[in-house]
Amino acid sequence: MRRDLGHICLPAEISNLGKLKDFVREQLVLLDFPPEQSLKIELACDELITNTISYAYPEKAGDIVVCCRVLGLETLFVTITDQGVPYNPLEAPPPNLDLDVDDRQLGGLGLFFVQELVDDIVYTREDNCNVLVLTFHKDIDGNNR
Amino acid sequence: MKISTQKQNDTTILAIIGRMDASNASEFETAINTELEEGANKFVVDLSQLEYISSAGLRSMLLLAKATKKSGGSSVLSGLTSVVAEVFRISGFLTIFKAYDTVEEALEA
Repeated sequence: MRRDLGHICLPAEISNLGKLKDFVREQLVLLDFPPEQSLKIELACDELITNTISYAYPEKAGDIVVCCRVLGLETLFVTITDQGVPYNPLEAPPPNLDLDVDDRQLGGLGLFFVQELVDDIVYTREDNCNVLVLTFHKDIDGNNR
Repeated sequence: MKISTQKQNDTTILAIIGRMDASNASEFETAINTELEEGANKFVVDLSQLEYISSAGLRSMLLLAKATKKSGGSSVLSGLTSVVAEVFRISGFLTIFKAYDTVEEALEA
């Protein structure tokens, strides 16, 4: 059974990025996730939270909710929810990683990182909300993925 | 995040300390622009004390690479560790930047 670890709800503003990430980091410490894996989980959450802050509310202010649940002690689910414009980040085109410095685009990397770093990710649009559920399995014996 | 700036001959050494994300990457861009406006075009970015970087930080690094290439200068990295090194690797940025183990090696290159 999934156990609720709590949630944080803050205005979707870049000044709140640190607090939203701190909430996730606190759960990772409590669950004793390895430090290196914790940084990767923070990065996946960071990219999606930053994306929401940047694009979800083009016309009006709104909130972002980050919720953590755990299955046993090994599987963490992070849910990121906003009430902004419908947007599925999983449909973003992948960046071209082979271009040289002149042709390299400035955006697009963040969502690529997310895909590389999560064990699973699901997007749904429900009740006028964008809901992303990220799944992370704890690395056992310090194995790097 | 803290940024320390140091000069050695004609090279500017920028050390980024702590965690770099979308909430503070603009501070690095400001530091770069200040240096560029003063005519600097050779940079070593010391990442040995950088614990964390997101794509917003990489974006700032790319701005530096584009600016120095345009002005005929150079920008290289030193001291990438752990997850920061992996982020640079998976994003293909190690084909854009030369990376050295230490600032000293970067300066000698």
